[in-house]
Amino acid sequence: MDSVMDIVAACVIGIFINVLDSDTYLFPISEEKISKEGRQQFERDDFNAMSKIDRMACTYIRGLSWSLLRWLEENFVFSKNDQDADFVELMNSLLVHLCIILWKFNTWATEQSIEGAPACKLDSIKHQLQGLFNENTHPHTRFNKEFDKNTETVDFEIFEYTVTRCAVSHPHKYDLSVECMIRLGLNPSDKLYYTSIYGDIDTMMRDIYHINDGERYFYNCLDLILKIS
Amino acid sequence: MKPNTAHAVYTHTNSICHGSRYIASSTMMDTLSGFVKNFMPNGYNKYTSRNQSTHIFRRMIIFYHMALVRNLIEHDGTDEVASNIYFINMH
Repeated sequence: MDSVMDIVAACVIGIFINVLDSDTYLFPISEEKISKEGRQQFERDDFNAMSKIDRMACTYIRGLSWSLLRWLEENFVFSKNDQDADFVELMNSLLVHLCIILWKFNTWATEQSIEGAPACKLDSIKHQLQGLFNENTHPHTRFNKEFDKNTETVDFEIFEYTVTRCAVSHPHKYDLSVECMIRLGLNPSDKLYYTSIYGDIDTMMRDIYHINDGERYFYNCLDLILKIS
Repeated sequence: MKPNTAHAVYTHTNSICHGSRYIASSTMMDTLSGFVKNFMPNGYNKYTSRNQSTHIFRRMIIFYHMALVRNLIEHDGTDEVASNIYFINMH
C-alpha cells in the first residue's frame, strides 16, 4: 500500500513540477533590463527563467504523471473502512488541497515577512496555480470553487486508505508516444507559453513529432547496424 | 537523514559546505511533503541544488512510467529501457 502511495506522491510532484520550481518565478533576463511592455508580455505568455527544453520536459513529465495516475486508477482498488473509494475523486481532493496549502503557506509567509522562493509573490503563485489544471476539468472547477471560498485545508488522510491490486491486470490501451504525453501534460500556462513561440499548439506538436521521428529512425538504423555487425 | 527532516549545519569556523540529495522511492510521501515545505520559507533554507532534485524527480517518473505503464523492464530487461532513452529527448 505504501509503495502505491509513493507512486501517487511522485505523480503529484510531477504535476506540480513547474509550480514548485523557483525558476518559474524569475524573469528570463535581468529584471532591470525589462521594459514595462516586456514585463507585461512575459507575464501574459508565462515566460520565465526556465529554459524551453526544461519547460518541455516538465510538460512531458506532467503527461507521464497523469498517465501513471490513470494506470493506478485502472489497476488498483482504493478503499477505506471497507468502502470502495473513488480514486479520481481522491486525487482531485489531494491536488486541490495541495494548491490551497501552497497558497496558505505563501500568504502566511508573506504576513510573517518570511522570504519565499526568489521573486515568488502572492499574485505570481496564484497565477501559476490557476494555470495548473485545464478548463472544464474536475480539478479546475473544484479549485476555483474552493480557492475563492478560501476553504480550510484538511489533513489529507491518504495513509488511511487500503490499496489492493485488481485481480485482472489492465494493460494500457492508450497511445503512449512522446507527442501524446506532451499533449496530456499541457496545461493553460503551457498553452500560453508554447502558443507565443510556435503560433499554435498543433504546429508545436508537428515539430515534436518530426524531431522524434528522426530520432526513432536514427536508433532503428543503429539497432540494425549493431545486429548486422 | 529521512526526507522532510528539519536540520541545520553549524561549523565553528567559516566553511564551505557541500550537500546532496538521495531520493528514495520508498519515502516519496515524505519527499513530497518536504518539497512543498522547502519551497516556501526560502529565507531559512539555503539549499542550492533544487534543479538537481528536479532532474532526479523527472527521471524517477520516467522510470515509473516505463516500468509500470509500459511494462518495459519486466519483459525486456534494462537494455530495452536504455534503448528507449531517446524518448525523453524532445529538442
